[in-house]
Amino acid sequence: MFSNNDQISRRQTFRLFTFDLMGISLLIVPAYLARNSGVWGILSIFLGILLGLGYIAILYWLSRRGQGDLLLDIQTGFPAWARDILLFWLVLHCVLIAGFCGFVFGDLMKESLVPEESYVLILAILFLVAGYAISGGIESRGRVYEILFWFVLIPLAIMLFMASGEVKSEHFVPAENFQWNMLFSGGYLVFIMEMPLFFGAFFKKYLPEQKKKKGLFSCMIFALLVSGAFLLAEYVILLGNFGERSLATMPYPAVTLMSTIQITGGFVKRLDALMLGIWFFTLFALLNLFLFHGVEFLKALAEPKEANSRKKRLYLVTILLMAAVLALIFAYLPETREWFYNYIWYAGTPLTVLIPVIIGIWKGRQK
Amino acid sequence: MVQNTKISPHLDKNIERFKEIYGESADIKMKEMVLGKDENVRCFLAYIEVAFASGMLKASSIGRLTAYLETLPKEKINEALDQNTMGLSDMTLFDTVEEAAQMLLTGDAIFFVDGYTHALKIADKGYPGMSVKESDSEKVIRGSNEGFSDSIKVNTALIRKRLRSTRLRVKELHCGVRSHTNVDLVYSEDLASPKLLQKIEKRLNEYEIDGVLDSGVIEQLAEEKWYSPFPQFQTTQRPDRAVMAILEGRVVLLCDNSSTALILPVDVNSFLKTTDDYYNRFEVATFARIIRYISAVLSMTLPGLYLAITNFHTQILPTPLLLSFWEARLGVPFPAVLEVILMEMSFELLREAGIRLPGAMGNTIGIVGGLIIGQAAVEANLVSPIVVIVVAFTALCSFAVPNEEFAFASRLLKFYIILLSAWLGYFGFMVGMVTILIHLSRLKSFGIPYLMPFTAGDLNQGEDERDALIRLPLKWLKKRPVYAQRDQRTKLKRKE
Repeated sequence: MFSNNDQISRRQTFRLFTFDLMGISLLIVPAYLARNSGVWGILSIFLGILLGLGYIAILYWLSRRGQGDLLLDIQTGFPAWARDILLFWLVLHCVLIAGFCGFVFGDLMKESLVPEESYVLILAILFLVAGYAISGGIESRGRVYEILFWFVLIPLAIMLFMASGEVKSEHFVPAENFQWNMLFSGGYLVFIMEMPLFFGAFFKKYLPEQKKKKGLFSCMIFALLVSGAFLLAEYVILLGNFGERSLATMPYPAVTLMSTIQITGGFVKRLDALMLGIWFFTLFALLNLFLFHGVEFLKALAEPKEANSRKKRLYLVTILLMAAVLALIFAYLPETREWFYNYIWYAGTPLTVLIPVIIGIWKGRQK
Repeated sequence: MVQNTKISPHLDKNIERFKEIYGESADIKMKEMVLGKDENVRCFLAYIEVAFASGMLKASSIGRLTAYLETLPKEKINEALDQNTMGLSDMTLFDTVEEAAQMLLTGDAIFFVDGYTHALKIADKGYPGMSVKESDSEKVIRGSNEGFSDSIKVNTALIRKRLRSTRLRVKELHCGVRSHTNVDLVYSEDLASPKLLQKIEKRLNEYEIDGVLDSGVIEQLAEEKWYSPFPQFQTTQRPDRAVMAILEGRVVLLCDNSSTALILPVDVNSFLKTTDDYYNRFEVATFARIIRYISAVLSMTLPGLYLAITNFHTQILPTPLLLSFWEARLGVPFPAVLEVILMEMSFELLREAGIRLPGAMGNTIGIVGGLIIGQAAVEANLVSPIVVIVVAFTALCSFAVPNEEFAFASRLLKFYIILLSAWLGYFGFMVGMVTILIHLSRLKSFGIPYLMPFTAGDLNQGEDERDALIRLPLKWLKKRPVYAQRDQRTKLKRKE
């Protein structure tokens, strides 16, 4: 009947994007932002959200000029060599970020929940579960995050509310005077974390016919605003609790914040371990996002003319293995993380902006 | 290959073939008799011993037939049978001996007349069976107490009694190459989706099996994901539940000799609803439903969560509570996981023993097991009191789930969560939960997502969510669920 069409509803799209956007940003952005921008990071978050909105506008413009699906535009509008180069880069990009996401995910779980357990084992379990999730296709992903939405967002909001009582106003006094580069570097950092929006350009085929264009972009805008609001609230509370200097030194400040909240008179005293469920699900969503699209791009690269590939499992295993190996490399060779940050900062993110723009201009000329 | 022997005008040939088909079967009674005004018409009656009792009664169909035939001259008999001048309402004619022999097994009598080239099937009381009884497994405080019986005809009548609509359809199918079990698809013609019906029939015809002795066999053969512990059909023993499903646009599958009807398609919400949710006021129904949802989750997760917290993340607990847990475990020689598994297995053992034992003894087992053995195990330091409490509370939660099959799935998955939590703490617990959620998200019942209406609720403009975790006032439940045909979704409106 209706559930076998590889399509998801608008509500599922909105919730999926919200999870994707919140995945890593709530976890690691505050510390980076405190290092780069300090208190001015609050303004950077606003700038990052504005940049994200601008990026959605670019994707909307592209959807009107092209066929609405960037993959289709790449496959049909370019010579074979250019198409292959682009798809190859997209596969690598997805695998790299999935690998990094896997590393952060595994590291967080090991450090916070099972310090005695082997990192490799944790990573293997995460990638196996991710593989199982992805093999269910977009519908399965959409349903999982539609269900989890309130289960994650309500506890997160409650915990932030509870932590807001500890906010100290003196922590909002900036350590350094305002500088434009602080604002822009922070804004750009926030924008980097909004990169899941890039996949909105490939999303049209997953929405029902009548709701494709406007529905998709309004979902992306709402998701960006909701995740931005959470990031802003979290950053303000973290700053108010720890101050910019302490915040800058914490690997996962939100987790530390949760551990400081004391609940009196109940069955539980602290909820930090239980609250890790929030990051478990958001990081899992982000990991799935990059693995899922990595498989799609690899399929398009290997079998450009095959609509229903029979080798999907092979592609899935390939992507999973590549990402898992990269996660291990990030974990055991710390210097590779620096390379990854440089790649994302100087190449990965600019390319995800430039490619839609170039394709949009190209398509316009072709028309 | 199935042989088809045309019914001969010579009775002896028919008798010979009939006896050849049945061979030596002590329960199949075959009687020859001579009827007609001049006692010159030979007849042959075959029936199953217990299923046929009223041959001698004038008021019965066969009694009336034989009495009538006694008054007719030989040349008038064929005409009387053709035109049914005896006025028998339940009489069917067959052209081949094999067909007639097969139909004997429905519990009716088969009647051959010399010189007549048809066999007659005449209805009688049929097979013995239990009459309408109270449903054991779906008790309600408010509402009908009638439950389905083992007879498919009684069950369809129980549905008709509640749904006196001319649009109610009963489609009869036969399953089982040897058992020839009657299976009825009961649905409302204007509400059930034709595509759904096609899909169900296709699925039912996918296998050829020798015998269908209960609806459970059909369920297992027709389900999409055989490996899933979650039921993909809803079962009910309550006619009012079945009628409610028909009014939702769903299809009820009745199987002869089974007091359990199957309802399809299903979603997770339908397993946690009861009929009296709709008979009680919305606050009561909503409260009960929330309790059931929480129970369903806890019945699967509580022991795992206990292990994860007490073994890995003790910082969560307040110190006095942690100390009392620690104190309670003093002297217990087993690791916590073994303790929990032992207690859970003991509970499952008690449950199984309670079911198999006759009524009164079953209750005794519960008391003996729960109170005496539990108390003794704690005193002997084999288990800690807290584990007894956790296991007992989990059991209580599983009993609050109104659907036995769904509760069973929770109980099975509880062990999966226990093992993962014992191994990897809260991380394992979350891995377990997310894999179950992914599995549920992939599960479908005849095309309907299993997690409806919590997912894809907007397919029916959010109407189904009004009757999910929270049951809104009946006046607000104006639309049928997504199963019903799109143009027939209105079920309640104010009179003009």
